[in-house]
Amino acid sequence: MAKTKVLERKPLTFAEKTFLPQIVSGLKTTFGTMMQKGVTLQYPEERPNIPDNYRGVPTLVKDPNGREKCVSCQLCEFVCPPKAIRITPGEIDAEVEPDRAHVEKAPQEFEINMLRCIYCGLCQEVCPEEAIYLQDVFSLSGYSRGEMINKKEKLYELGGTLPDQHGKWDKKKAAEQAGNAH
Amino acid sequence: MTIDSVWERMVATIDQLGDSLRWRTLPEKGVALDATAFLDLGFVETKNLKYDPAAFKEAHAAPVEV
Amino acid sequence: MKIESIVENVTINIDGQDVEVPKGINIIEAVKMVGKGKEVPHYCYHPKLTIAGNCRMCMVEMGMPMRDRATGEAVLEEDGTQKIAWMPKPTIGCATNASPGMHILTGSEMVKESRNGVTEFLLINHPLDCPICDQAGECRLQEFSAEHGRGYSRFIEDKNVKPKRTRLGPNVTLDDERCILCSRCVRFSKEVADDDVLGFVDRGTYSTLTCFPGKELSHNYSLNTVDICPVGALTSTDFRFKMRVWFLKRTHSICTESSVGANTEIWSREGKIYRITPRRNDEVNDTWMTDTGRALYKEIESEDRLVHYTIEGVHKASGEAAVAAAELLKSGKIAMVGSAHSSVEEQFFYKAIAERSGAKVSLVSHNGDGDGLLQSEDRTPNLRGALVTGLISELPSENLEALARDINSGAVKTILAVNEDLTELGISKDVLAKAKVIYVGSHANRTSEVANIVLPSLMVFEKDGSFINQSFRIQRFKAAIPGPLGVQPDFTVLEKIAAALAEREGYSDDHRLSMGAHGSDN
Repeated sequence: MAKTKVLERKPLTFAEKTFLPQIVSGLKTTFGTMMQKGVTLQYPEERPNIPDNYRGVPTLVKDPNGREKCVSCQLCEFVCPPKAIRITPGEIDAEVEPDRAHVEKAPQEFEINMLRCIYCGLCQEVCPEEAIYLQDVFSLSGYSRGEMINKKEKLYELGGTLPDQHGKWDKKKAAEQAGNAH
Repeated sequence: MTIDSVWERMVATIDQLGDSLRWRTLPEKGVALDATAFLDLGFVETKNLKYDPAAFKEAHAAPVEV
Repeated sequence: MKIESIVENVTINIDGQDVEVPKGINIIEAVKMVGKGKEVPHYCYHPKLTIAGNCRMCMVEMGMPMRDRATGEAVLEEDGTQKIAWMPKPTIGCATNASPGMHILTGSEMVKESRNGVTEFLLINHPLDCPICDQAGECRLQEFSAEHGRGYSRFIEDKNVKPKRTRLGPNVTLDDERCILCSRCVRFSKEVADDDVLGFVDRGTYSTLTCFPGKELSHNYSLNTVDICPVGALTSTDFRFKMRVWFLKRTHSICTESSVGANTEIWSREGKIYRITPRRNDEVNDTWMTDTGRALYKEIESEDRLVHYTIEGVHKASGEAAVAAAELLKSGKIAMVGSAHSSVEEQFFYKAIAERSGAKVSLVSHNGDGDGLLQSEDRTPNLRGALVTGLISELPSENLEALARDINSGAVKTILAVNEDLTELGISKDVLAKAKVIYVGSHANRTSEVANIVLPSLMVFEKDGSFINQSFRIQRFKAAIPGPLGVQPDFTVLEKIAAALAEREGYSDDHRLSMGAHGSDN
């Protein structure tokens, strides 16, 4: 049988018996906090600061010239663990967009099902064209399932334009125009 | 009715199929059937990549083991 | 290179292991025969084309047993084993034939270094546009660069610029920057298709694949050049940018274009077919197929596809339609117009239906010009199947004028037509109106429009079955995609009709079996 150990309770000191020190220290906390700036964020009027590399809603971005970067290679569709991405690849019509004809390929339709998306960021990691980014949009709602599927237009609207440090296709076009040395 | 039960019935009635052929175990490259009964028909095919009517007739004129 | 049935074997040593291979076989094939996933990487070598030896990727080290020049005696090592005289430089595997005692090294330092060097040179002017290249996923350059390449580029100069998006012919688009000058397409056009239209112009690093002036790659085998292109230079205009290959499911099938019965692979994703490519079968089609055969899948989504079982134009369930068809067939004075497009399984049931209903069976021939390769004169895939199943005992006729006479004379009151438009075969609409018509087929035509009962059938891509080709080779095809909603495999409906007919008086089960047993005699 377990042995019960009886702890001896110390008798209260005189100061403790008056309760005054406890009340004073409590009020110090109260008044101290009253003077500080509030920590509660008045969401949705106020929004938090989103750190860099935050994984929000995946979006498609355009290059500084306003051209779509995605070439519909479908690697994100392949890598996406919950199969949220669906791309219909297409060819760029050289007559409609002569300045982009050298890229040859672009998505006809690009859908991301936000009911499926798990915000893992693998699509951003795998993209060879740096066209898909998980940016700072974190709050997404809709009235129907259909509304929760982001279409190409919505994805570009959310994505905006990001700086492009490579200019891969511009270089390609410049080389094409310069031609061979021989 | 599955394709396997169709084949059970086909094998029972069609001599050329032999006894052991089944759809599910048919080799990927196919199986050459005994054509001796049909050699006298005047098929319209002429010589092409892998088929030569004259040579085919000659090769199958002798009874073939199925 | 065809290996004759009686072949002399020689023993060669591959990476320290003695193997028996047919004499004269080249090293690439010999290494493949060893198995265990061992492979000599190669671009320009193709088993069905002549050897060009210009890609230099299949380098191996080769040595022969050393012999004393004066005496001809074998020179031995100190430990008594045969001394091997290794060649100082690597040799190409595709043009090296196995001979007795030959020693081969496929993974030595020298071999690895030469593969690495070849890969680096091939990548110098390669545009590296895999994200927009259709070959990605099945590209030999991509695979071998990962396997044998350096992993980074030392090339800092400007890459060559070559023509892109060039139309070579109605079906093929060329991207010259991706071309590695293996010349497979040039050799194919010359040797197999017998239409010498492709060649290289310019020299050295500026070498460019092109069509000869005033010519285009327009023969009916042009898409085979796309198949054999080891990189993404030649692309199919039809399949271009449609879907990445790694999403596609492959199903083995048979081409229905003609009685050749070319073996095919159907590439589909989620019930949609994206392309059809040939599958190697040395007894039937080697590794080729026609361009026209590849386009046949487009009929699946055609507007005039039959998708409902109907009786007098009213949609019914398949079972009801089968019962109604059987009732009609019990009435006597039946004629059947069969089809050499049906599978062997279907023809087996048509034969049973014909026997039990007493129908006179006729088939119609569909002939065209043969091209001497893989498009034969008989444009049906399964005429031999109709013979083997006993559906017919003679070759089909060109038209149905005899049947038209029978309808006029009242000898035929009901017609079961399979996949044929009777109005185009000598039976005018007026004559056809005198008979009841049951139509079985995949697409609507003028006969299905007037038919009393329509039973929709599945296309070859949607069902399991087999065809018997021109050389009486029975070949299997598998369903790649589901058929239209509600349409049953043909043989299940036909079996119901045949069973209903067998229930007639005097058709006991025993009788049914014996009927079938002598069915194949005629």
